[in-house]
Amino acid sequence: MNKALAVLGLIIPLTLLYIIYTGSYSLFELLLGVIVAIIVGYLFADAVVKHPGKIYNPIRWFWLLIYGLYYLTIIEAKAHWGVIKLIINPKKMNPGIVRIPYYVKTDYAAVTIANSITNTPGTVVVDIDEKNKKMYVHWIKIIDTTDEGARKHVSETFEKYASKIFD
Amino acid sequence: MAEKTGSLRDISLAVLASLIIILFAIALVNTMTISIPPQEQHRWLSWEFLTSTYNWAVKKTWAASPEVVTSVLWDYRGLDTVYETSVFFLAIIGGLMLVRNYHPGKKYSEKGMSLIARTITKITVVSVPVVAASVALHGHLTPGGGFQGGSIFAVASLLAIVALGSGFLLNRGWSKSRLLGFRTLGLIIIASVALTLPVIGLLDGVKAYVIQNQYKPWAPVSFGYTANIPFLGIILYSGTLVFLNLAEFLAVSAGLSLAFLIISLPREELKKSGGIE
Repeated sequence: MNKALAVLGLIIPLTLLYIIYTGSYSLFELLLGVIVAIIVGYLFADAVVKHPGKIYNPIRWFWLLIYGLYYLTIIEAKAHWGVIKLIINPKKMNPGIVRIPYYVKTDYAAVTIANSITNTPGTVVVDIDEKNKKMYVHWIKIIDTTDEGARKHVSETFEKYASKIFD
Repeated sequence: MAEKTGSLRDISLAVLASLIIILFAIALVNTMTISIPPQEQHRWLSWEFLTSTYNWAVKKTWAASPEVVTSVLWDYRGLDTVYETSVFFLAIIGGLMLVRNYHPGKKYSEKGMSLIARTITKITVVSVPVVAASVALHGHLTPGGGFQGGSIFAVASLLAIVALGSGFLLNRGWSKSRLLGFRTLGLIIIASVALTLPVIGLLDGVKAYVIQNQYKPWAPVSFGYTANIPFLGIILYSGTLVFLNLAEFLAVSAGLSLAFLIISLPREELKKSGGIE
């Protein structure tokens, strides 16, 4: 039952991928895409989707949209501007690796945080400790070396949205 | 470096370096490279194929497919491709022979890379087969085909083996015998498609060739080339090409995945089973 729901949830994204890759939009292609999506879903869906109910929750999709827009415009611009300032005035650079804890439950939320950190210029996730829920982040300009302090500066916003989307 | 940063010297050095790079680039583009104009004339061989594979006016030499490479592979020299597929099959069998003594336990290790790599790889592993299927299903229309699609599919298996541990595939039932079964099924479909028209020809008492695709005046049997499906319109499927592509896709996907799984078997356990020294 769980797997059937997972396959059902994957049909739309996988069919969309099929249509985009094919580049042709007839009804026949759509039908082929759905068949392919069902077969691929049957092969792998249970590995990708653990809680199918979450796919059908529009509030999560809403937060994903909001986060996507907010991240790609404001957060990215701010981070880029910070690094531009450092390039112009490298004396202020203070690189090092900080340890940042995270409190989300699911894998997807943790990966969203980690990739959000890596994708903003200036911070890179070097390693992740799943057991103790800690990330090791290389930070180009360390402001706070304590765990919680670094988390407040680097990943608190990401974590807020990630838990709303995936947890 | 840190104490004299931002000084005039650094800036002038940076400007100088970028100027040199730009000058070299311009010099390279203008003098050293030979520009290759788009070819306007075809050689006779390519002209022959380009004007025959999808020529609706001369149906005795056509393959009913606008994709020349697939037409050559599965129609004009179809038997050759069948043999190639068989050779590949034998190579897989040979690989299996090397590990024939290995009878692994119930549970396999699913220890892969870090959480980030594993999660992203899972998303990739469901996306890659969709692209592979698209490449294989349109092999008779656009560049691609069964072997290409199967190779793309095998990338998903390889990614899963490396990033998620070979246990990810083995624990969900991708066993040696099952993959070999799909490999064999693909080959059986290819063989039956190749032999369908000769059998029909034999029954009807007309001439027909092994792995024949389209109607010939002297061999009047054919797989057809378009299908009129209600609500979906007229679909061009190019006779045998789409079936052969699908069978090859199945065979290559299963075969290459099996090869990667064999390669990923741990050496220590192979030693224990006595297959290798």
